[in-house]
Amino acid sequence: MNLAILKKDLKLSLFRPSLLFLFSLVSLYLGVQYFYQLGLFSQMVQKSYSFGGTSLLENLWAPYFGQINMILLFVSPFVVSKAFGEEQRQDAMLSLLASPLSSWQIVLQKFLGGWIQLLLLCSLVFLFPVFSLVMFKAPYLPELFSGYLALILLSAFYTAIALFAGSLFKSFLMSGIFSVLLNIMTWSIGIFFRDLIQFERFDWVESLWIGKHLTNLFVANISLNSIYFFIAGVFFFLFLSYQMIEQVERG
Amino acid sequence: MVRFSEISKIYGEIKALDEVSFEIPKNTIVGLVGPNGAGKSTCMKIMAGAMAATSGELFIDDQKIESYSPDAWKKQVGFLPERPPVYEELSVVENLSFWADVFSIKNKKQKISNLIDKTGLSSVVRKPGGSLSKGYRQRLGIAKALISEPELLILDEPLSGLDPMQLDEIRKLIRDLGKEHSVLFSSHQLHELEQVCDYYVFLNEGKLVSSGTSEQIKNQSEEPWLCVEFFNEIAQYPDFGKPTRNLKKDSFEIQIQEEAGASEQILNWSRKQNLSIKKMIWQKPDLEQIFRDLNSNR
Repeated sequence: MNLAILKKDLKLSLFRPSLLFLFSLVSLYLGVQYFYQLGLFSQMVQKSYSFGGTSLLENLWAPYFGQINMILLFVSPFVVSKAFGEEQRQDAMLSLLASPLSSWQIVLQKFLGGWIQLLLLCSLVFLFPVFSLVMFKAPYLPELFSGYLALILLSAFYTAIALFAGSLFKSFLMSGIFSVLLNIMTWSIGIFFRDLIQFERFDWVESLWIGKHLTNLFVANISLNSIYFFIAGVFFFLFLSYQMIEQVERG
Repeated sequence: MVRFSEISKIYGEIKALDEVSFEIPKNTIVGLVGPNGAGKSTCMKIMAGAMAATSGELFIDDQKIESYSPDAWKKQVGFLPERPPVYEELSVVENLSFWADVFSIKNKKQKISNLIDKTGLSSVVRKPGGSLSKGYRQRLGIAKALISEPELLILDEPLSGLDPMQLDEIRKLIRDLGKEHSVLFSSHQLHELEQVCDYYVFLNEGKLVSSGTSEQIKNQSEEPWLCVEFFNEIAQYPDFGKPTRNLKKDSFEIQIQEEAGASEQILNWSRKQNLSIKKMIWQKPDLEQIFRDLNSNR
């Protein structure tokens, strides 16, 4: 399999000072946040002289994963959405289209490149919850795994959205802003139906809402429906990106 | 040989190409000429496989392009877009290495080394793409286009924006490449092509205006102009039922065939008018003039 674009993208982006700075900043912020929450949680445990898996999940990990979600929501657009814009800037898009690579290969490699960058961004912050496992000698590995799975799927979802936004605009800023708006929209649709108009048949809408699936996974409730939801979402946005390349670039 | 058969490209209501047909014979340098917006780049993008045509067919060696796998077809066509693709953070050799990977080239190192020699990039091999001059960027673009050893090389405006020294160097490079490849090379400046091309395709407003060798096009063109200049002033201009232009007090130009005894006619007429001829010159229109006339006639 030809992975030339993926290799080039990783080589170029992983050593880019702006990205390294962003990774450090995110890791530092989330590290401080995590250990602060961990301190509070320890005090809570000492006062009650007991803790259960649920409380560790609900009081520490789930809010922490929620924070990572918020970071990814705003950071992913600016890491990923320039994937196509960068090729345009370097005048390489036309040459890629004239190469033996198909539009799908281009889109998939761009997606993988962006996803790997987001996963690397998460990799360090993934380590922090391991401290609490060791600290409390708590046997909650499956619960932690579920949270990681949620973040891996979520970063793929945000990557696909950002890639689609990047295929719409040549300007980094425009695609970044549009991508943030799309991310916020995926969240606000569910909140709109549930809280604002208190839609009676919310169950149906809820199954298409990212919030429900993410919460399930954050609290270690792994269901195939949630996994399918994320995979379907990723392919939906990848398909839109592919269509943009085929319709707009290839005319 | 590559054949472009009745290719049309329509964007919404705009016809960028209107049933354009022409051929690119083997090892020939073909100049694709036309003013800005004539459809040259669209034509080249379709040929390179970067864009789909609305209708028409493309043949390589009399085989429809559809009969080739995309991989095989695109390896036979090397494409340099109007702005050469250069990754600014990668060095020249890394840029070429990336394109070699994209085209799944075997013996990558050897091929890159040969291309660097062939295109005169040896002195800048380790320099980042972003620091290259326009001339070297074009060389890098041409090297990239040659990476799959293509049958056909498509160069979109490779001479635009180059200084005179760079122009000569790139022209020489293209002439050398024409010995081994068929080259389709576009410009909106005809004089840039005249020193390089064997064959010309004139486009205007998406339509084929004329095509052929320089001689064929000149022969297809209008009758030549005879410029006559006198020592004394002309009282009355001749009326041979032929078009005249540039009527000055001591000279004029008349469009007339040499074979039709034009010189005799002019000599007789000037004798009758008591005019003594200073010089008489036949002016065959050059390609630039023909191209201008073809465009203005449309």
